[in-house]
Amino acid sequence: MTDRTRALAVAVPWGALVAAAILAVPAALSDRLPDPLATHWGSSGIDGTTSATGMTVFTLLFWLLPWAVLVGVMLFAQPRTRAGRSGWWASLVGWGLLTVSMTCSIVYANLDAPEARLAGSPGWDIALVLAVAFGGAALAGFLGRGAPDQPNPAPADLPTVRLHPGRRTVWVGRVVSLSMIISSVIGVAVVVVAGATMLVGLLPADALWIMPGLLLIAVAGAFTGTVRVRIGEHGLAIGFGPFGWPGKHIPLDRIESAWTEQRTPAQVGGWGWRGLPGNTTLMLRGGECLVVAETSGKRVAVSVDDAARGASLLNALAAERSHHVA
Amino acid sequence: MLLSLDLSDPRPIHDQVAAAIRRAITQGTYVPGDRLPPARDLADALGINANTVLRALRELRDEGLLEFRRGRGVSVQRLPDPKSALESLARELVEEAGRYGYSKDDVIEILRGLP
Repeated sequence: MTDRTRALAVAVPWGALVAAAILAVPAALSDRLPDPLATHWGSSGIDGTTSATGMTVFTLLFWLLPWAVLVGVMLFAQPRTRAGRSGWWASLVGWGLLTVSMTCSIVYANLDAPEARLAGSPGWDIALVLAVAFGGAALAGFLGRGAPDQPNPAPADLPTVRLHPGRRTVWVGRVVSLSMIISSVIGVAVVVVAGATMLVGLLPADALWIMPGLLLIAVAGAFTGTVRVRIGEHGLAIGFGPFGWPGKHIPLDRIESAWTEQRTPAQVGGWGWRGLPGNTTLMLRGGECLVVAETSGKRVAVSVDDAARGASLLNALAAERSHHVA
Repeated sequence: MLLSLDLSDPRPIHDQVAAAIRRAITQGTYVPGDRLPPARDLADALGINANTVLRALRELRDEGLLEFRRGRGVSVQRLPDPKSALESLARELVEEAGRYGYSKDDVIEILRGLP
């Protein structure tokens, strides 16, 4: 069964089931419900009523239109990425649960009320409605995520260098993010200026609460504004900031191959650690990135200067190691 | 920056590190004004003491290849002149030849035989 037929085999009965619930719940309890129903609550109590038929029609549309869009998406623009599949399943299940639980909540509020204006008002069940919808969406998104995304295949001709026996060859690369350094410097400057202003009494001392936030920005900027990458017999080490910590280390025996790619923040979704587990990019600036494929199939990329030499050395070291092991 | 050290080379390590950095600057993507990776990173990667790397960097500064600036680290001042770059390549060629049992004269013969 393909992804699409499986998705439609669930979506069609699910659509019918939710629609049936929307019709059946108010209908089954119609002799205990007022008509019109209280359907909207404002800060001062009930501020909207709708006839029972009107509410059912509205709720049906509220469910069926998005449902039709989702089915259309699956038919004509099937999501191909893990994020796309997760989003589709989460929307299908979450929206259905939201609609049904909302209907139940309205029916519950109106239950046994002689007329709409005497209906109760939804309280804790609003939280329940949201919890059911989001919980269901999260579960469906997780179950429907499918196989990990297959990133661009590794290029056929991997760069390499000749390693001489008896020599220790290493590569050290670094990249500096100007924007993060600048934000860090500004953060520090504001902390200093604000602190001085408070000391001389120009700024009320109760504005002190902003200081930890600014300090945090400054420290975070200093820690993530530079990235250093080391390649050697130990494998690949990526370290943040002045102390190289926090960092990431991939030993040689987990490295399949390495190459360079041009990537931009727009492609990977911004700056910093980006992507889903299994295919992440550490992006500090657009341009040349070192891309590493692990034997487990994971991909790690880091934007770093002189990445081509690093990739060459990593390939040579990995090949030498597997040669020795074999 | 790609650096390579010969573990059996009898020369002092700081000389070897200086030669390796000189070579990396010669053949690398570095242009005058570019910053070198911090000495500690180079030392960590090579598995040697940071002071050894600093000593090598000072040698290269004294040669005029590198420039030390407070707060800005170490940057490339000028590229090695072509003759010293060739010399260091020739030295490596002779070393490589030695590993296969050829003498310097053998290398010269080979060079003569090239078109």
